[in-house]
Parts: sequence; C-alpha cells; structure tokens
Amino acid sequence: MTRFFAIIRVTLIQLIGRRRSIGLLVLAAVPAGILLLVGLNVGDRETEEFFRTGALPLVLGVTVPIIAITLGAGSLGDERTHKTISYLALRPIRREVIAAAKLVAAWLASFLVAGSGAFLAAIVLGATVGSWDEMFAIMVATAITTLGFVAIMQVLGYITDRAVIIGLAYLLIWEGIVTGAASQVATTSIWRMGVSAYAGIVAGDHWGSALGLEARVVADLEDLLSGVNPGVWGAVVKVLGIAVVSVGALGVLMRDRDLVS
Amino acid sequence: MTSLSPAFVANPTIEITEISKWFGQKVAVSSVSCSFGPGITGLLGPNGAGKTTLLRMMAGLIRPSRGKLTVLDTNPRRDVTVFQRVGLVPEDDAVYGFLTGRQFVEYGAELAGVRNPSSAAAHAISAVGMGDAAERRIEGYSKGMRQRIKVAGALVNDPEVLYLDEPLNGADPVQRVRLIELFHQLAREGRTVVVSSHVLEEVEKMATRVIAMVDGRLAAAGDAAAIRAAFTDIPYRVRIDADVPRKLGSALLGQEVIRSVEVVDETLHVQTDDLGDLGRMLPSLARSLDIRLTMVQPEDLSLESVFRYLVHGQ
Repeated sequence: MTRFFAIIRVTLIQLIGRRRSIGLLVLAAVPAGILLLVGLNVGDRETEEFFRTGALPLVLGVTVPIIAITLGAGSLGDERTHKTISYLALRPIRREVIAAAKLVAAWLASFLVAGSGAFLAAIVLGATVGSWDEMFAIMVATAITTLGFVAIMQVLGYITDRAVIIGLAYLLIWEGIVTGAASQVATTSIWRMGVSAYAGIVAGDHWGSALGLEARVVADLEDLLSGVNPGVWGAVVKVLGIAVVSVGALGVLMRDRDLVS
Repeated sequence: MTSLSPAFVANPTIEITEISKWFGQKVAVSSVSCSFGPGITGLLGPNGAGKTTLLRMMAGLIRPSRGKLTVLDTNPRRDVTVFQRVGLVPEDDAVYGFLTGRQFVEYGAELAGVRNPSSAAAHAISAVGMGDAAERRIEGYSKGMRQRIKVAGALVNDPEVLYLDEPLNGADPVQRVRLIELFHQLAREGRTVVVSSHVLEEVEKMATRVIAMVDGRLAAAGDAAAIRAAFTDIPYRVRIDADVPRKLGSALLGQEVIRSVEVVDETLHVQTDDLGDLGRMLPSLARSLDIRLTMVQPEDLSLESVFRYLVHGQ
C-alpha cells in the first residue's frame, strides 16, 4: 500500500501544484460567480430556478468535465510527455496498481478543483436563497462526474498527446449534442450520470415530491436528464464500471505497448 | 572446447537473442545477439546507432519487435518483480522538477518497496555527492546535478543490474571522475553495469568490455583496448585546396605518411595515418614546390565515419 499511496501523493502534487490548476480553479468558480450575479439581481425563486436550469448544467456539464478532462489526461499523459514514466514503471509494481493509483489521484485532484467550484455554487445558493439541502447532492454529483471523465481521459492521455483536444471534442459532440438529442444513448452520458445522482438525492424515492419539489422543478431536472432515470446508486455503479474498465485497459496498454516512444 | 564469441559472456545476467526493433518503416535495432555479465560493459555507437533503443528494450521500457531478451532469467515485459533488482538512468531528463532531490530519490525507494526509504535515499544521495543540494527542488538543478540525482534514483533499490544511458552528460570534470569511480565500485561489487555512450574516451574510462553498434547492428565487440586499437588503425581524411592541386597530389603520393590521394573538382582528398606528420610536412613540401595552400581541413572525423570504417572498411 506504501507504493499505492506514494503514487497518489506525487501525482496530486504533479497535477494540482502547478500553474494550470490556478486557471482551472478560476474556471471552477465561474458558475458560482454567475449564480451570485443572478442572485443579487432577481428574487429567491428565480435564483433557485436558475441554479437548476443554468448553474447546475454549467457545473456538471461544462466546468467539472473540462477540469476532469484536463487533469485526467495529465495523470499518466504528463509522465509520458515528461519521460518520467520510466521512473514510475520500472519498479516492481503491477501495471493495474499504477493505473488505479493514478486514477484515484487524478480523481481526487479533479474533485478538489472542480468540487471547490461546485461547493462555492452551493454556498452562493444557500446564502442567497437560504436553501442548504442541495449541497450534499451537488458534491456527490461532482464526485461521480469527475470520476467518469477522469477514468476515460486517463486512458486517452496515455495513448495520445492530443487527449485534451479529443476529450473536449467528445464533451461537445457526444456529451453535449448527441446524448442531449437522442434519449436512447443519454444513459451513456457521464455528466448526466452526475445529474441523475443529484436528482436521485434531492428526490430520494419520491421523485417529484421529496424536499417539496414542484412539478416545474421536476420538469427542469427531467430536461437535464434527457430520459435518464434519477438515482444515485445507478450512477455510482456506472462510473465505477467505467473506472474498472479504465484500470484494466491501462494495465493491458502498459504491458503491451512501448512505455516510451 | 569452443571459445565464446566476444559478444557473449560466460555467466550472463542479460541475454539477448536475435533481437530487433522497428518503428513503422524504420529499423532501429536489427538482429542483435549478445550478452552482458557482471562488470561494466560499454555500449558504444554514434547517435542513431540503436544504443538507446537496445537499452530501453533491456530495461523493459519498449517491447522488441522480434527476438528474445531475458534479464536475470526473466522477461522484463512480463514479470515486473525483476525491477526490484534493476535500475535505469535514462538519457532523457526524466525527473520530477517539482520534487526536491531527496523526495525524488525517496519516491523511487517507496516505489521499489525498499524497507527504509529515507535511509536508502540518504545513502544513494550521498553516493552521488548530492547531500548539500538534496533539499532543493530539482527544477533548480544544473544538468549535471540532475544527472547525479537520476543516478541516485536508480541506485536507491540497490540493483544487481544497472543501465546507464549517457550518464556523464552535463557532468563537470570533477563530477565525471566521481561518477566513474562510483560505477567502478558498483562493478567491483559484482553488479552488471551497462553504459551507453557515443564517446569512445568516456567508455574507455568506464568499461573493460565494449559492444559497438552502427545502424542498429552489432558492429564490434571485445575488450576496450581491442576496440581502441581498431580505431587508431583508421586513416584520417584531409581536404587540401591549393593553386596547383595535381602537382601537390603527385608530390604527396611519394610521402610515407600518405595512404592515398584523390583529386575531385580541383580539391585534394588525402588519406593519412598520422595527422600530425602530415601537418608538419605539408607546408614545407608546398613551399619547396612553390605551391600556395588555401585550405587544409580534416574531414570525415565524425564518430559515425569511424564506426562505418569499422563495419564496412570504408
């Protein structure tokens, strides 16, 4: 376990101890800033509505994925780019263990950065509207969304130097356009897994009636879900499945492909 | 009893059989067979000869396209436990700049599963003489210091097999002497040390046995003295521009130090065994013949050409 935690420790410093994390932190804070501006200019009800229809999709569908894409791609990608992969890989550690430790580190880094933005948005909502009930839901949704994106991006980052560009294109085309338009494939959308967890937590087993949700609010969330059923455990199982496949795939890639070019 | 080819050793720790590596259409290493045992072996060759590719295959960083390779009786691509007993100093600047020297080496010890990482790191850092700079971030190190901290990182798990890819790059003369002494000490302790370099003098100082590569192939193997002798037998080529080149060429042909003379586009290309003798004799010869020399320039002295001479005799 020492090796596992050593990799996590160094990867965390590698990913968030750099200049790029400042830019990502600023990006993470954008939805909270917009929500604050809205909250200062409109009433509580409109602010709450904007949170669900504007800030939430901006957090889970834009800022969280962009942060997870950047840091996920860098977790093993940076090791290859900076040639330090030899220092890491030429050690008596199973490739899957390296991949798993890297995944946990990239997830933690992404959650720290993206989660701070989500947390800030929840605080703004609580401070302006007085509702603090949704903070837990949005943090869980952020954790789920970051894990899903990081797991995919880690593999991509290991394979190609253009992982971030490919990841952003994937976010725009598949996650943004295709799964939004075709409800049949919406269940594959990672950020909707986060929304599903969020909706599952705020509604519990009483979709539409828990926390006194009004029909209009349910309709807002249903728009975001694009046909995906709300439920935190379903979302957790899905992203854990993606994470396991990612670790397995990286194990195979690190064994069968050249570690350096 | 049959004698062993110079490319092989009696008690090998690394065995390479007909190994090749190609990247797309480019063949980097072609059908190389050799073995390495305890002591220092120099892997010598010009840039692009395939040394680094061979070393990377031996280290398990890249996969051979063809052939068989075992390190300590293990395929390094299949069994990661072998890395407990192996260390690599890559040619690349493969360091985490955001860590201090001590953190970097300690991280290596943790990854290797060393029982007491702090003490192992301190020992390795002291061996390369980096104790004073160990608490500074690597990004502020000079090239030579980075090189030494990489060596410490490779030594921290007390490896039986150590690969060093151009280990003296960037090191100042004092550091070079110290590193070379360290490598000798490791060899005396019975470790297998493989040093890759394109500088013959450097390899000579470190290795008793040399494997020379050219164009991805094994060009020569044997003890360092034999390789050096082969090198000194190689004639030097000199380009001479003069106002009457053919007259000078005829006169040069009668000189003992001259092997051959060729006139191409009114320029003389001379092969000589001794550059010094030619340099002393040429001005007086030209003066006696009333010939004006406009340029005398040694050519073809690159290591590549020397290796090519060894391989192809031209």
